[in-house]
Amino acid sequence: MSASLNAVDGPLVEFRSVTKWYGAVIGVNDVSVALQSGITGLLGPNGAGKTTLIKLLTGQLRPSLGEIRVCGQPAHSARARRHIGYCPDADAFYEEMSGRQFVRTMARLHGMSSAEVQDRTEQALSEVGMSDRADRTLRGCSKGMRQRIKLAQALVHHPDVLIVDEPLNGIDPVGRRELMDLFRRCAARGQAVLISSHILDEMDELADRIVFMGRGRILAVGSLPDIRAMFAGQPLQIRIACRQQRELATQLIGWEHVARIELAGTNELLLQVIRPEEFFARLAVLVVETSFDITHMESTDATTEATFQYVMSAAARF
Amino acid sequence: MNSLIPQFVASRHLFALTMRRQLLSRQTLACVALSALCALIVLAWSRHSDPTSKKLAEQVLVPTFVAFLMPIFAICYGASGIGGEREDQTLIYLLIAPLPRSLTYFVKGAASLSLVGGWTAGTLFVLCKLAGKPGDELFRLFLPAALLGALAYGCLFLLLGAVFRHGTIISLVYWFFLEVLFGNLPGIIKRVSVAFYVRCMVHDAAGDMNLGPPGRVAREMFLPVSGSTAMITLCTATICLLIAGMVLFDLREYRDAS
Repeated sequence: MSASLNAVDGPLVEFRSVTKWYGAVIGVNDVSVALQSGITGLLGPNGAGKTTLIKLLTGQLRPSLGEIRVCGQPAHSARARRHIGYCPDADAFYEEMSGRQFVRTMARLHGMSSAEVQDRTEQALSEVGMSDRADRTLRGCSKGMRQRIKLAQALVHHPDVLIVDEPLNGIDPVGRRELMDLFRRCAARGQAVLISSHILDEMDELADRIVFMGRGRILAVGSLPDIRAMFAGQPLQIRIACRQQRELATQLIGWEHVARIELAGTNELLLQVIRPEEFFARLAVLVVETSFDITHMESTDATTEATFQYVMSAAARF
Repeated sequence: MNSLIPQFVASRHLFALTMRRQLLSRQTLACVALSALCALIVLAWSRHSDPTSKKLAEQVLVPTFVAFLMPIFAICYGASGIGGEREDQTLIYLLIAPLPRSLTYFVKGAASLSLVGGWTAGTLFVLCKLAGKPGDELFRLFLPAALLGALAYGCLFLLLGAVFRHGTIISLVYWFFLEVLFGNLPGIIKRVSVAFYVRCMVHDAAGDMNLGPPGRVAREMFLPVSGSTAMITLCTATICLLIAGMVLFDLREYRDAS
């Protein structure tokens, strides 16, 4: 981690009323958001403004209105780029190089000395699990290997802010787990990790915070439970596994919190619950007072995907 | 001061990286092939019964080297300086490097122009050597004009490569229409072309040989400028194009770089 992180007061990244126009088309519209250390998921449908937001953050685009600061520096300045590691979505490299040469090249473009280049390159390759395979020419590497090399070049200068665009594309399940662990390690070191992804399932367990975007605006920001809580009026889906399926259903059907009950299989109930906190408190009392043998209970729509659907349908009403 | 040393180290590496990638590219193959073709033409011409410096300049060097090879070198390495990175989609790695964009452009331009200048001087030297004694005299006369012309072309095509998505094609179109067609039109319209000033410098340097368009009418329509004016024009054009490129590259938003 670079020493700069400690010197920065306030958020690592700050968007202040940022608007970006492409001629008559608006890319992002009055966006204000701050990023701190930890993992932030950037979600939204195609055309939501995610790519524009990332390009603004990496200094590729300049805002039409507002300002973006990275560790206190304007995002389009060279000083800000010292704090940013960017792993682009495009599968493009200096194809004639080996993975190791490519990461070294990027380290040199950050102005490191030869000794530093050597150390940091090996460190970055080791972090992405490519130390022993990085001498292969990039044009002969698999998609997963290329993705890891791309990530290594983003990590090589120990950035304060790591921006990764669709990082898990083309990575096998074991690799995904490794990269998710890597992002968690980066966050634990105090780095702000911004992940733009379409794989919503992985965001459930990975992201500390989610930024939902739609039509150029930020629709919701916060942890998944926080965002879900914004939709308290929306019934929560709950699955309960209980040996006394029918007896439990008979008890629950009279509760005002329960909007709907469905029997699934021989021992499962699917519920739609209004005001879930009150429901859970009352259910706990019921289970203690009676002998219902509940073996499993989960909310099926507290996932990123379900919350995403809520946010998008809410946004569509405006 | 703290950021100057890393910027210097990064710039030095970018220069070397650009030189290496440009040298080991398709463009080099094209330059080698076309230079070899011109060398064969010079060899064939050297069998001429009465080879003189004037004939070598008018029959070979001006039409093949000044009008053809020199701009081709500049298109090959100039247009691909930034344009090649755009086509390979690797420009993003330069845009996210912590170098000021104008410096990135300058360093890439310096590397590309070094190659353009090197190829121009080297090929001119080889062609003049192959031509024998008449060539020895012409090398000295052609070199300053050829180098200045090559640098002006290089800066122009570097700029076109940075501004337009298909910079190489646009550079070829520019070269054909503005340099080849307009450059040979009568009157002052040819003064927008680089080749005109190169020819003026060569004609001025080789005053004793009485070089120039054949025939009285053609000479009168050529309307040349003096050698020093041509030199100042080429130097000014080179510097202005380089600065314009640095400013445009700094301000430009590359939406195709992901």
